Formats: sequence, structure tokens, C-alpha cells
Amino acid sequence: MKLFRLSAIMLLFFLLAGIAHVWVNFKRTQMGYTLTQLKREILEMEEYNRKLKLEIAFLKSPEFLENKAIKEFGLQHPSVKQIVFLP
Amino acid sequence: MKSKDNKWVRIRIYVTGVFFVLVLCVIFLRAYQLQILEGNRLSSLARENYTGSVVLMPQRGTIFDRNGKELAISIEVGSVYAYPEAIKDKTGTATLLAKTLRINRKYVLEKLRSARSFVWVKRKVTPEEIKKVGELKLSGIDFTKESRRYYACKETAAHVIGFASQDNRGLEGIELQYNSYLEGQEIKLTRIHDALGRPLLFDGLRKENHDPFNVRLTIDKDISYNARKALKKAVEETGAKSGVCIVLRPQTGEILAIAIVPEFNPNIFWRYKPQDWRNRAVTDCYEPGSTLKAFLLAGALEQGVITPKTILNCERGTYRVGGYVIHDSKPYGMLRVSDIVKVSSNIGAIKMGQRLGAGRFHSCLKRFGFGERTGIDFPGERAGTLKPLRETSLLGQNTLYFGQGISTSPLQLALAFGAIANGGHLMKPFIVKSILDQHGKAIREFGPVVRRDVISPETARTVRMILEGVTEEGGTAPKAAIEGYRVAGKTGTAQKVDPAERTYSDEKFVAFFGGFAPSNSPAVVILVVLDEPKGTPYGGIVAAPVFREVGYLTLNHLSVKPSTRYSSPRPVQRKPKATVQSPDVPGLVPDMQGLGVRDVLNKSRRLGVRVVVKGSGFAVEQSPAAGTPMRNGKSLTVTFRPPC
Repeated sequence: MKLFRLSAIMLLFFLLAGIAHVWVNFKRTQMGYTLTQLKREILEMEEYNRKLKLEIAFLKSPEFLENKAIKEFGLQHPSVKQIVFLP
Repeated sequence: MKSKDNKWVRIRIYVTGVFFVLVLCVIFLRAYQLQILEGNRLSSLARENYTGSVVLMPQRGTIFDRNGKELAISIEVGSVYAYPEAIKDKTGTATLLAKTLRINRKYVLEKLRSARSFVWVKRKVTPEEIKKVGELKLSGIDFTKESRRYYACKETAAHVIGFASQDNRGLEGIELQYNSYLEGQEIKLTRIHDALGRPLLFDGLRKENHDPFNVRLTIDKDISYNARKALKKAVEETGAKSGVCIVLRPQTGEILAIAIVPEFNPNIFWRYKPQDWRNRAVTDCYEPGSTLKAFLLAGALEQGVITPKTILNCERGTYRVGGYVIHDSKPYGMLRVSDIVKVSSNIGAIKMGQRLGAGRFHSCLKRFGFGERTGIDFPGERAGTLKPLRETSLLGQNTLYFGQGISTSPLQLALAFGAIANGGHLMKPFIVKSILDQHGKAIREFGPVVRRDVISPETARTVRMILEGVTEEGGTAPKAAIEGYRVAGKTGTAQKVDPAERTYSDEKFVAFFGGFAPSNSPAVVILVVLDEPKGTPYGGIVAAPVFREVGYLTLNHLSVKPSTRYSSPRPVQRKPKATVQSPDVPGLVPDMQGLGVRDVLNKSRRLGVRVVVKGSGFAVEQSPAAGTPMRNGKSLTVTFRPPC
């Protein structure tokens, strides 16, 4: 009877250990997929970020801004008398 | 019978035991073969089946201006390639590709008929073009991602930044000089994939040491743009062959802007002639003409052979030296040294030079950095020529006093002006402020380096004062004067040597203006060079206006306060009224215009008038108007506005 109980406990232990092993492997695989996906997203976002930076740089280039200011908004460079220097 | 059975059982047990032992031996041997003998080969075979690699395109570092604005940046774009062997209908494919990618059909067909297994059809195309080619579903045609360099400010500072090739290798300018920092490496990541080929795990993150570095320049893109615009306008108006404009900080040697015309767009550099890519500020040398008189003056003052008030005879415009006759553009008689520089008299310069002596002048020029490289971190710099004194004739020694027989790069000349501007220190110029890692941390920084002290601060101050006269009325460059600022500088108009006749040409000139502002505390040195302007070639006429325009916008951009106080147009018109105030008559509203807040309050207290103060500064409006009857109990509202 004692031997039977010990065998049952051992069996249960091995069963649980097996399930835990499978579950850990399953989670590891799942996390692997998630990680890969995230890494790809990071790379894509980094590239997207670079493209946006380039666009900002083009839009902020002095030539573009000056054309916009003069042709579209009718602005002009201030004369020295119109400039106020703040302390 | 029983013993016979037992014997048979034992035999069976032995046989079974032997069988199991044999099986185990076979298993062990097989395991030995698989794990030990063929282990490496088999494990690599297995790895090939469940691993793959992802290649990340080499990125190139970003180039920033001094304020951290992107000047050059790389992004991923698509490139179209072909496997010619896999294409059956080469003519049809070439026609479709040529139409979609807007390239020559013959060129595409030639590529597709090539014997090579891989050919590029068009590199670095737009996403729209990739989409269109994808929709064609052509066999043997595919895409890949490549990194493409973009230059956000196009022609602005193009000669400084340079450009990189299709393969991301720096070819000109900073791109070439700092290629080892900017060039990124191709990164190969190993991934584990499942039975369906889906990526499961990368073996590691991007290696930090594979990332390229970014470069931060001393260049200011706004100043560069203004310099470029003003120079381009001058080159177009004068019909000059080329032009150079340099803006630098005299105290540090930082280059704020280098503008060159003819210009080029580095995004499409291949459409321009190679000579248009050249940064003429460092690669080209010119005779500096009369700009050299500024350094003659500095040398002579430093040696104490003259003072600003020393009077020299300018021989009424004709002077014989070494068998040759030297002329001035206008005949001058007795002139003070300061006036000789102001009107740029050649004969006066010779007289100054004779007092200083050719040897001392020669060493003075060497100390100012002529004839030696400045040491700028830029490729292709030339040293210019300053012939040894023993190789110079008597005439040559005398003409050197007004800038003939010597050649200098525009950068050398700008730095020499910088030495006068900063109190006598010849600086090493630099164009890169720092090299940054991907987190923005500086791994290398560059700062001001004094090459040597050339003249004393007192001499530099005196020279600055005398050079101020050049931009005043009666000087050679009143057009360089910037409203609101004290400006000092020197013009130059150098005859070019005609290579065919080996004499000075009467038609080809180089016009210069080099100077700094504000002259009492210089914030910037600006040098303008126009090569072969048509019509009037004088530096004071053609180059000085560029100096003024660039100088004004630069000083404004750098928030350098004007030395002259200006008030806005409205107070200017109203102020005279206030200065001649109408007398205060009891019972009438007093005149407050033009007074400060304190004066208005004092006056109203004295007259017993209640005042409502609006704004600050000087009184520009009042209600009711001055001189109208003052009603009892009614207050006077005075509006103030600050002066500009």
C-alpha cells in the first residue's frame, strides 16, 4: 500500500513536471513570436521615424520656409529698426 | 523434467539479455557515430533547417548643423534588380520596366541581356515605382531595400557636407573626411524559425558597435542659406565666373557658413560637373590684391614703424620702383596712414612697406598664415604660395605690399582677418563640432585651437579702427556698411594672370571684401570673393554689398545688438512733438507726449491731474488731447510704448 502511494505521488510529480515543461516551452515559443514581432515593429518604427525626421528637415529648410513666408504669407525680412532685442 | 524446464528458461533469459546488450551496443555505436563522428556536420545541417538570417542594410550616420538640425540623413528605399537568366521575354520586360521606372528602354534591355546572374535595374527608387513594378508581376524581377542619403537643405552648405555614393561611401566634403565615423556596417541577425518558416527568435539585439556615428557641424544652416542667396544674387548680377563667401567666428575659428557658386544639389550630384562639387574656399587660391594692405598695416604698426597719424607721400599717383611705374587709381598727395588704407593707395602701401622692410613684411605674412595650410578638417586644402624672399625681385617685393605675387585660399584670408578681429590670435579653423553616438553622447569634441599670436591686442584694436574707415563715406567700400553696426574691412581688386601672355590681364579681375562686424567687438568675420565679375570689377562695388547683406542677416540671426539705438517709426514721428512741448496752461490738458512714465506722473502730480497709465516706455498718445479744456474729475489717459 505504501509502495502504491509512493508510486502514485511519483507519477503525479512527473506528470506535473511534464506539464510544466510543456507549458514553459509553449510560453517560450509564444514569447519568441511576440519578441520577433516587436523587434520588427521597432525596426519599422525607427525607419518611419527617420523618414519623418527627413520630412521635417525638408519642411524646415530655410529655402522652403522663406518661400512660404514671402510668397504665401507676404512676409519680409525686418529692417534693423524693426528688430527688438530682448534681454 | 523440472530441471530441463529451468535450463530452457535460463537459456531464454541469456538469449534475451544478449539480444538487449547487442541492441544497446548498436544504439551506442549509432549514437557515437551521430554525436561524435558526424556531430558537427549534422548539427549544422539541422541548424540550417531551423535558422535563417536577416540582413539589416548599413545605415549612414546623420550630419547635423550646429543647432542640431538634420543636414544629411539616410533612409531605406527600394531598389529593383533582375535575374536575367530567369527572364524569357526580355524585350517585353524591358519595355514595361522602362515605362514604369522612367528609364531608357535600350539601357534596360542591355542589362537584361547581360550574361551576369544578377543585375541592378534601377537603384533607390520611389515607393510608388516599387508598387507599380510589383503590380506588373514580372518573372526574374525583384526588389531589395537599400539605404539612400538625402540632403534636406539641397544646395545650402552642399560644398561643406559633400555627398555619399550609391554604396554609401563618402565621396566629397565632410562625407568623405568623416566617412570612417559615418559609414555604418551591414548587420546580419540570425533567427530561428518554425516549420512554417515564421521567425521565432533573433539570436541577439543590434550590436551597438555596428551603429554609425553622427556628426555635428559648426555650420549654421540659416546663415549658410543667407550667404548662399546673397552670393548667388551677386554672381548672377555681375556675371562672375564663381563666388565664395565664408562666415566664421573669429574668437574660435568655427566656420558658420561656406557658400560657393556655381552650386550643386547633392541629392542629384551626378547631374553636375565635377568642378562644381569643389569647395573653392579651401581648394582654390587667388592673389588677394589690396586686402593684403590690412596685414601690411598690422605688421607696420606692430613693429612701430608707423602710427595711424604718420603722413606719407603718395606721389600724386605715379611712383617708379625697380624700373617700373606704379600707379594709383586716383592721384593722392600727402596722406595719413589711416587714409592710405581707407582709399587703398598702392603707392602709400609701398611707402608703408618700405618703412617696414620686405623681410619683416614677409615674416609678418607667414605669421598671419599665408603660404601654409590652415589645418582645417576638410579634404583637398591648398596652402597657396608665398615665395621665399630670395626668389623675389625688387619689383616683386614692392608689389607684394599691395597683394601681387602671392596667392591665398579664401579660408586663409578669412582667418587672417579673424586674427585682426579677435585681438591678434591666428586660429585653427574647424567645421566639425562633435562626433556623437546613436544616443547623442559626444565621443569626440573639437574646440578652438590658437595656432599662434600674430599681433598684440593693441595693434589689432588700432587696425580695426583704421579699417572702419574703409566702410565709411570716402572709403573704398561704403556699400559694406551695415545699418546700426560698426563695420571694418578691406576691399581688394586683384588682376588675374593671363596664362597665355604670362602678364596681368586688364580684363580679368578677382574682387574681394573681407571684414568683420561689429568692429568694436567682432562677432563674425565675413569674406566675399567674386572671380571675374563683368563690368565694374571693384571689390567695394561688387563684393561689399554681399558682405552687407550676409552681415546684417547673420548679426540679426546671432542676436547681436546694433550699436546705434533705433526707435520705431511711430515714436520717431511723434517724439519731436514731445521735445518741443507746448507750455502747460492751467485749465488745459497738459502735453505728455514723449515723456517717460516717471516724468508723466511727476508732471501730473504737480498740475493736480489724475493720470491713467497704459503700457510702458515713452508716451505716444494721450486722451484728451493736449491743449483742450480739462474737465473736472476727468482723468488723463496716457499710452506708452517702449523704444526699439
